[in-house]
Amino acid sequence: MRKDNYLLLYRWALWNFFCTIWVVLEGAIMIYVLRLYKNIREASKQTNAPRANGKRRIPVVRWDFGIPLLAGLLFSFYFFYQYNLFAMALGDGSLDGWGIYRVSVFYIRICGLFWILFEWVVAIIGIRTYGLFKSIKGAM
Amino acid sequence: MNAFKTLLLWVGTGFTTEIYMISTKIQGIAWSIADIVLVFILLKIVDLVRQSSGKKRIFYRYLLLLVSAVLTPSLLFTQTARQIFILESIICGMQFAILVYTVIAERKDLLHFVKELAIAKGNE
Repeated sequence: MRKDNYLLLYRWALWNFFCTIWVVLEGAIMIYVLRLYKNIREASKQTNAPRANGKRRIPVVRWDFGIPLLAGLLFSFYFFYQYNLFAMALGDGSLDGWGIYRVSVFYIRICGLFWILFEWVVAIIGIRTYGLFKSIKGAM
Repeated sequence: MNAFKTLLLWVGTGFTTEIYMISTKIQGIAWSIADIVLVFILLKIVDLVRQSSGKKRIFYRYLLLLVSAVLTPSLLFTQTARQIFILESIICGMQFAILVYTVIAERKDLLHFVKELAIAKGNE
């Protein structure tokens, strides 16, 4: 295998590791925003008593393990992806330099999907928070 | 070769520059729109808070957000990855600058507002 392909693998693995850290960071922000929204709703004294159909108004979800779980899943996927990429590039040689580049860049596109999902969740929670503030302020 | 490796092999041969550019532009626009909504709502919340404390409404931050919103569709017309990177950096840079400045500058008023709401609700 060509020496510059080793460098290519290393550089893209490092770059994709930083992209993974960024996704974990955005996911952690999303979880904190969800917790904050839950706390604000509880502070607004909105009742969480079950409705007649037995369902609760505010979903009772435990977020304590959210960030470690998210980080665990994302980093596990990163290592799984890189392991297979390295195996194909170094092992059976089924990927050349261009193949390594395309597969590495495709990983960034996957990270992009998570970035967009987390951003939209935070944006929607933001809209709900604004609505909550406005209704509480109006009732005061 | 397992299924995942088969997928990676397909990506390695089929994920061309054209597909990369199209997917990057679509993701860039989707991300920027989410950021615009997020920052806009934050500014609306801050305006609500400022109204409570008798301060005047925000103007320049909305203007900067509008500029970033106007620039966002230009991502569709970029020709190279470098152009996408530069334009996206400018757009996101503006949005994050507004976000960071607002969080820092308005944190005390925001915290005070939430405490007031909690106290008012507690007294009901």
